Amino acid sequence: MRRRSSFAFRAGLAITLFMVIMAVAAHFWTPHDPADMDITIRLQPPSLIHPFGTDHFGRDVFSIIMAGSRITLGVALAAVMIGLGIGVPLGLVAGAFHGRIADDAVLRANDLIFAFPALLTAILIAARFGPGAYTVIIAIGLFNIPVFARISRAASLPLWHRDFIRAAFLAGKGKGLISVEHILPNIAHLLIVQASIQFSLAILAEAGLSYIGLGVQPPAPSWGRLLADSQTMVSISPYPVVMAGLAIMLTVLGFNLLADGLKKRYIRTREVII
Amino acid sequence: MTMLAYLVRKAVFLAASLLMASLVVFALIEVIPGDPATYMLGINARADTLAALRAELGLDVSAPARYWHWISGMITGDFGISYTYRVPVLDIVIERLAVSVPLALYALVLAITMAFPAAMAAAHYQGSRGDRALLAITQFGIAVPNFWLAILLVYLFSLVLGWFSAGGFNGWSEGISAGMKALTLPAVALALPQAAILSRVMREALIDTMREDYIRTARAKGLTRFQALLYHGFRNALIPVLTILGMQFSFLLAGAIIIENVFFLPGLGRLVFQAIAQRDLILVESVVFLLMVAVMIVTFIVDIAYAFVDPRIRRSRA
Amino acid sequence: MTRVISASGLCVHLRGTALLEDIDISLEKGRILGITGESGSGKSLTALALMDLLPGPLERRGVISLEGQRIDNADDAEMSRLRGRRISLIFQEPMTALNPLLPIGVQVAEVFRQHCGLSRADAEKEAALVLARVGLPTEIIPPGRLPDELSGGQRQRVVIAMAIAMKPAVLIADEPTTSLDVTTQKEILDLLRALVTEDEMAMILITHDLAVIAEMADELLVLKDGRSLAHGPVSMLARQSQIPEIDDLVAASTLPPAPKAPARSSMPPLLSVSRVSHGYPSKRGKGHDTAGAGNLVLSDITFSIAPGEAVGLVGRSGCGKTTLSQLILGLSTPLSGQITLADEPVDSRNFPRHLRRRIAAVFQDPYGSFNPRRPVGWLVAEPLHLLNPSPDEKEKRTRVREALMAVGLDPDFDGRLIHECSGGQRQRIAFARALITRPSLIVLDEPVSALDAPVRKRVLASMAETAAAFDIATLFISHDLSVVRSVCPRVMVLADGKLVEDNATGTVFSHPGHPETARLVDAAPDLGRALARLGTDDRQKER
Repeated sequence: MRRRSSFAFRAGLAITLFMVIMAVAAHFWTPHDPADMDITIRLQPPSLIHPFGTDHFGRDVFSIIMAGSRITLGVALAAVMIGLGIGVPLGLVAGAFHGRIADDAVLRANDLIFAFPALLTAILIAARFGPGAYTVIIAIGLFNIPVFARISRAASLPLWHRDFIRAAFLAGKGKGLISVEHILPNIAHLLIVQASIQFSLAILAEAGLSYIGLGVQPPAPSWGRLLADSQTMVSISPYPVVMAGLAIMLTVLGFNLLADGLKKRYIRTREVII
Repeated sequence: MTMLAYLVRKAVFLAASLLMASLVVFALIEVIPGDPATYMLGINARADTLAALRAELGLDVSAPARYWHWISGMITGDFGISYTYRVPVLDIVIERLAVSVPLALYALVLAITMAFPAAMAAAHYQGSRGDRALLAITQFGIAVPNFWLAILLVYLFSLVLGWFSAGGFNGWSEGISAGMKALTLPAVALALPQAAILSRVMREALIDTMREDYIRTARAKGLTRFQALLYHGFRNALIPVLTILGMQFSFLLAGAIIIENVFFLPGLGRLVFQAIAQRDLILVESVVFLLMVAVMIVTFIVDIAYAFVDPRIRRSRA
Repeated sequence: MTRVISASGLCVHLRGTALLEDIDISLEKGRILGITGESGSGKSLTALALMDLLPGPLERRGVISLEGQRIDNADDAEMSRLRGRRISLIFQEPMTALNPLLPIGVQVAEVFRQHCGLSRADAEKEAALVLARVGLPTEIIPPGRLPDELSGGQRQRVVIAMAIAMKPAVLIADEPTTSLDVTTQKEILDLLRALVTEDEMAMILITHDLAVIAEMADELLVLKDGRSLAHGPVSMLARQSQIPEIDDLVAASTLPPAPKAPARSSMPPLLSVSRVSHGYPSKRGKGHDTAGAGNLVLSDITFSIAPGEAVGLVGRSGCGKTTLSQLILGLSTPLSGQITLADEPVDSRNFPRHLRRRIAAVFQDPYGSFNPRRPVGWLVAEPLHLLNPSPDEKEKRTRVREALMAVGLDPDFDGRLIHECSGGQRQRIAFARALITRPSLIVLDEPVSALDAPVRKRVLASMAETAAAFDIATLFISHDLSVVRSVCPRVMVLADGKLVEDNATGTVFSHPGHPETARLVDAAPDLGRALARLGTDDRQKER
């Protein structure tokens, strides 16, 4: 069993690092300009010059994949940061003031935001302010807030009753200091695991939103857009569709494996009794 | 608290949440600075066209009055007139809902049917090859974007094998089975990733439950492993699963909306995206709000289901 | 006399390592076998092995017979038919032993449905009868109650009901009362003994508490590191055995008598509690709750503690001890009455630092008392936050090391993580943390209840000595009079939120002034008393 879990962790880590490196590298260099169109070489199968072939505008699929990773990972990172940055403090406050107005307020706000799935929020924002990267970041990030708030609150609630918190009160520390010094370090592992799960969900969400046109607009490259543009040509050349989908799937898989590995490592569980 | 009291309490919360949500939607579309009329017509629009549109949108009236007009209209079934289609929003929406909601429900049923038995078997035979195979398959299942899966399914089953049509939906007038056939491929594309998530969550919940002390007690009482899993494990594992199920419906609905693009289904999705492209704010406002209502109602149903599974919920504060 | 259960050469292995080796058991009906040993000696494994409920990777060998039939070669289906019907097992943790979602009546009825195939209605009728047998009749506890509406003692009774419902031949009880307070412990043990007699059951009682074994068991099996150290009649404890470990075990479990009360000092009291009452908003009653005292958890409490005095506060769970300690520590404010420390009021809403540092606490749970992410040094130094001016890192380190030495630990402990320390060590570290601000009063809330019986004595003695050496007053709170007796010359008894006794310890034991005190005296597990009785029994048999 031990070997298997570290395999998942190592595989996840490898894939994740590879994607991140590719995204960073794309900032400086891609084999071709992803926006470079050349109708004469459209829908070609993979070759030495175009390892993933070309799409129906003649653009190099490999370069689009590389460049698109920047958008996807960037959006996902920003969205998760919003969730962590706003959600965790909210959840900690709710846990610290359990049963009082602050707790109720956070719970109500959570319920309200949960009613706004990323897609609906994206639609609202896009309808009013137009599509784009910020639309997607806000839409996905908004939904991340109650996720982290709920986890932080639920994980911190049982801790407040523990004796080491009482000891901290006796030492004259206030709820704020205790939240930072005692509560947060003891829920950090849960947050990290959840963050990697949310990261992979954000990647899927960004791909979906780009696919329907609410994300970054052309000529900016994106995996979802590539998929949307190429789907009608799938019988002529399936490579753009397949590659774009594989890129999304592989990245999500990587983060999920990473999350699984982290979970096994840091969240101790009792053995099965029977 | 009795079941009835709990139901009433939850219903009140539902109404309050709907109200809050409607406020947010309204505020975002109509109140946020920036002139909706200019946005809809473009910067180069003529002043008199803008004025006419503003009058039509009722922008000359105060915001609270407009909000009240909108809300009271919705209760009576008047959702306004779509700017682009020039027909009552309600009519269009009902027509489209008849596609999107059955699709989401179809997918949900498929997902549950696939996921629950697989999860129970995997938890029961934990560590076996079958269990590990399920884990591996679902690991890919949850990573696959459903719209990509949809495209691949169309490619395989329509273009190559010709078992299903490549898309389109002719309405329910041709009969339920014909309609279901048209929705099958999209529902499968939606259901597979959902089933992967559900089975993983259920499996994990069951395994966690099997570690609990009361399972030990059940075994000491003379229940076999399977009996302990079924009578004690399942019910307790249902709690985290219900949580996921509630959220999954909203993702399913979102997924259905996206997938309509692949299969050219005349559902809410295409309606909304065309509306965005055409800047038809009236339509977007009402459709989004309706979708939210659907999501909240499902959450409400899940909350009620919780109370059946876990009687302790009725006692604690909501 | 029929042998109801026997095991020969019982072994348990984990991937080649022997966890339990060559254990022999032979028990007749109506007899009680006590199995004891330190933590990790294999007591629970024996129980699980007999029931064939060992966790997956563990393997079992040996011959086991139940009512004349071999069961070690039975498959899971056959064993499932025997479990709960002919042989039952109850576990230590009543709080988690029941399914939180199902009413207790349903869970007990399940036994009848499983083994007799009864309909739901019939099974629930039978369940109500069994519940009445264990002291939970329908009038007091409706079978529709959920487990979390019951106290620990009541939950354990439900577990017992499930175990004896089918009148099995053998009942195995693995530490059935360890997590309960002593008064409840006595009630549960009395119940078990009555059931053994009425049903002519054989019982295997597993516990680390020698006093319990001495009072309950007929035969004794002592385990150490998975092997049998001694096996014979329980009266062997009363004599000097040839085995040093057993003598050590007996000595460690025998608590010393009460210290003499020092002359009453003429100094003004350090802590003064005056007419304090406190309560909480109404909640559905749990277990031993007051019938008619309304919502008050404490009523009209008055007492004082002199500087340097060691006082005990005893009462069963739910009597209000913890609430009182919260008030004294300034973590909550009483509804009425006043608490003063050195003539300054103790008020949680306004508790100045210079006063807070004069009072410290040691809590019950050695595992929950410390933040698992911080090293011991950081944890012990935490109360220094109260000092003004705050000491620098170097001084903190020095004071921490001093405190660790004062409680009998190596100062290098300051670099360790808490999960590397044993239960006894953790309680000492907790005491070091309490000492570090040189308080005038330390409140110890069940400081040794979670520790094994043999370890308790050492830790308790060490705490009492250190407190005396620094002239720190101590308030020892416990549900067990015998624990308090060995370190406190004066003891107070709390019953249903009222102070019913406040006297010198010797007097309280010899002439209890209140029925509750008498009950506590009777319930306190006393190895000395039990051994004396055994010695008498033995001599009677020899005649």
